[in-house]
Amino acid sequence: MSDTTDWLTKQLSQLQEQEPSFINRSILEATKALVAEQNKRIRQAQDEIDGRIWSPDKW
Amino acid sequence: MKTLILISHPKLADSATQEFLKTAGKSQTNVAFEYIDDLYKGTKIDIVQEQQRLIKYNRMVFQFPLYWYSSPASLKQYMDDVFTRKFVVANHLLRNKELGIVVTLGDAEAEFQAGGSEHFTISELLRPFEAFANKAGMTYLKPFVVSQFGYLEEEQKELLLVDYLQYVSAQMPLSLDNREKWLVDQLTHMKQEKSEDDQQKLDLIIGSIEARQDQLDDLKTNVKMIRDQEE
Repeated sequence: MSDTTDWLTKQLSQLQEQEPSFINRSILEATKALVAEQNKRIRQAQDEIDGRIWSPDKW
Repeated sequence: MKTLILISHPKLADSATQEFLKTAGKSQTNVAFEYIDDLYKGTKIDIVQEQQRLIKYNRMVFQFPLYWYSSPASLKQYMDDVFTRKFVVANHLLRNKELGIVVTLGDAEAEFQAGGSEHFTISELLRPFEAFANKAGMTYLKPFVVSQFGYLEEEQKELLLVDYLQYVSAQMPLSLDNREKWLVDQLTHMKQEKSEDDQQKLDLIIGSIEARQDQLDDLKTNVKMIRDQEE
């Protein structure tokens, strides 16, 4: 997990802990899931770029 | 974008699921609810008034528990009364709107497939609504299924709530991009009721999420460019 993802998740959890509204807590939970999904897709896209640039076909 | 949720449920007051969904939906300013069963209590339904109401909304959602593999009778009655041939087919007054279905199940959703105890899929069972949307020139949205609400844990309910709110109020399709935009809108709205410290925190969170989405868009463009050069 990237540093930004860690930081975002921590901030969102802190807001969640002090949040009295169930609806807002749910939105913060879904935002954490979005942050994790963004992290996964960024990593996969970077890996794909690396893989395609270093493909043996191009050597 | 404005959404009208039409609820058909003979025992609405007893349903914890409907109460949950309604409380959630009311948090959205562009979402309105109408309880069909109330329209049939006492006086005769005012068809013209109903039609006038419907045309103000971009998305219409039928919300009901599955009763013998269809909606409860009140929704069918409403459709037969309000969706006149003139309104739907001749004047095309529902054309280009979206039709969504929120269906609640007492059985596990996994049983609704070939080999499962219910044998037929939800998409198959809801085919008459899809056919209606097709005839009316509406965009039919993927049905939103809530199954066995009573067995859900707190965290599952939180995620269900957001999925439901996105189904009724976010831009379709529910891609990562559209979900991100919807969540940023919600966080921005949430900010209004927070302390100055928390507002700053939320601003940083929103900024960071948007920057990551831009980064992801750039990466996707690069991936596509490299792929296109390969073939």
